[in-house]
Amino acid sequence: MSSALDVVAAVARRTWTVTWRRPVVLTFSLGQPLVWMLFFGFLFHRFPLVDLPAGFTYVDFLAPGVSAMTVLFGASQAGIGWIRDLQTGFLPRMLNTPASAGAILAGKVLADAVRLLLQAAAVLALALLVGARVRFAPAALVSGFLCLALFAAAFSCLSCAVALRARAQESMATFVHLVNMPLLFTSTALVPHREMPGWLAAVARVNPLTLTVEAWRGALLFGRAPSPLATGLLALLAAALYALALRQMRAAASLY
Amino acid sequence: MTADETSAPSSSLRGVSKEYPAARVRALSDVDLDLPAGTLTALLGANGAGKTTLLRILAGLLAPSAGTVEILGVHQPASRRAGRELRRRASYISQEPALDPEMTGGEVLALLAALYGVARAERARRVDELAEIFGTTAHLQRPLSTWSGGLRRRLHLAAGMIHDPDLLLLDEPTAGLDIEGNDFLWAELERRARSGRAVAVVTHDLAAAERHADRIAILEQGRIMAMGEPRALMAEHGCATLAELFRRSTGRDPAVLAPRRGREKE
Repeated sequence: MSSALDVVAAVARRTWTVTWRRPVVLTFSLGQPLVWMLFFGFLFHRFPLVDLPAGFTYVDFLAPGVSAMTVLFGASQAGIGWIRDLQTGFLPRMLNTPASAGAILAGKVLADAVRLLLQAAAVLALALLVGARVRFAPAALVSGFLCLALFAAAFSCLSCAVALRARAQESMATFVHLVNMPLLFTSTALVPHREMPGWLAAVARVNPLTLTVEAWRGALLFGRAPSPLATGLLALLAAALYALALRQMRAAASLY
Repeated sequence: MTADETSAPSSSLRGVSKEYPAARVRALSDVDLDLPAGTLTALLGANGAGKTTLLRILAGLLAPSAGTVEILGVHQPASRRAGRELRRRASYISQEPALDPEMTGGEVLALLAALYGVARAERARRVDELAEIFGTTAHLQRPLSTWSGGLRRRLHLAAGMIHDPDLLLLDEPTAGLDIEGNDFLWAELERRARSGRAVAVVTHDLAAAERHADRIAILEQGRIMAMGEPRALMAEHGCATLAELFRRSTGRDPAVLAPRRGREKE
């Protein structure tokens, strides 16, 4: 019998293999956050931000935000590969094996999440190079990183679900913009709560990107572990979006 | 394997019909068909005769509008668990190759071996063996995007056999294959049938069907017009060739089956 872990590993390896063969995508997805970091950093570091604790600059504040933003942007595009796999018929073929659709999805999402976390770490390293400062509190960093991982998995699943539903590159591009920009600008990735108008601050509070950014930033800047509630909500979101993507996977099997 | 086991039906259809209401097409009408283990069956017919529909129903990929379907002893529709077990033992090889052009041939075969649950220790041997059988060994390390259409089709066939299926269903596997590829394929299909598997091939190649198939079924407008051992059928209908039998059963010129050339996507 096919072991589910075996399937997860095989699909994850395949996802990485195909990604590494497209260095252009990797370069852009690393270059883009660096540009954001530099532009926003230079643009806003002169403004006094009342929300920042003493001793912190805007660049310190921005680094975890842009690092999480990298995960969001990357995750929302994760499904694009599967549109290609639908067009070549390879995904339906994979789904018409005894391997469970859940394990195939898990392999894909695991590979994407790990790649995105590496990118988030790389962006953070670049931010340190341009002067951002972080605190190294290992326990808090691990649990903050877990929140980032759950967020990466959740939005990779959402992207896969939308890709399998839309089945066209064009619709996918619309989705990416429709999701990325509003989520980014109604979150605390770039701007602290207190700098926002009241209604926006209210929206930001329920934005999953805010949950993630706050967890990640709290760990990086203050050595503070995220609340169990935040971690739990992100886990719940990841589980719900995984279930959503799985439904679309099962539907795609009939395309073989 | 005893004679009894070889003649046991691997899969059977009884009174199967299939309608596509949206297109107002009746693709199959009241079809009875057995695919015994240990035999190679060729399904013949003009375009639109219902061959692919029949094959997809036999694979459990398509539900019939009426009739009963039993695949490898499993009544359809199967439970999710039975469906998985069926996919482990059966293989449907589509007409169009379904491969990832960005992976190498070896990577595709190894991945599918893992998905089919082939034991880890066994995978490399299966990959090498099938690559050898279909003459693709020299190309395995290259991305499929650099392979010719015919070579890709050979890999597509190899991939469908990586789990050594008990039931092998192939939809026009010879389209786009060169003579060498054709020879490799028919030899392998015969070998698998001899070793007790049930093999069904949709083909337009009457000569190959006459040479290699143990049984043939001739379809016309969704009905089976003739079915049985080719020589016995020809004798029964007083036909000297399979082409003549085809004309007699369908009322069509066998030339409609002439293999299409140059349709392969590059």
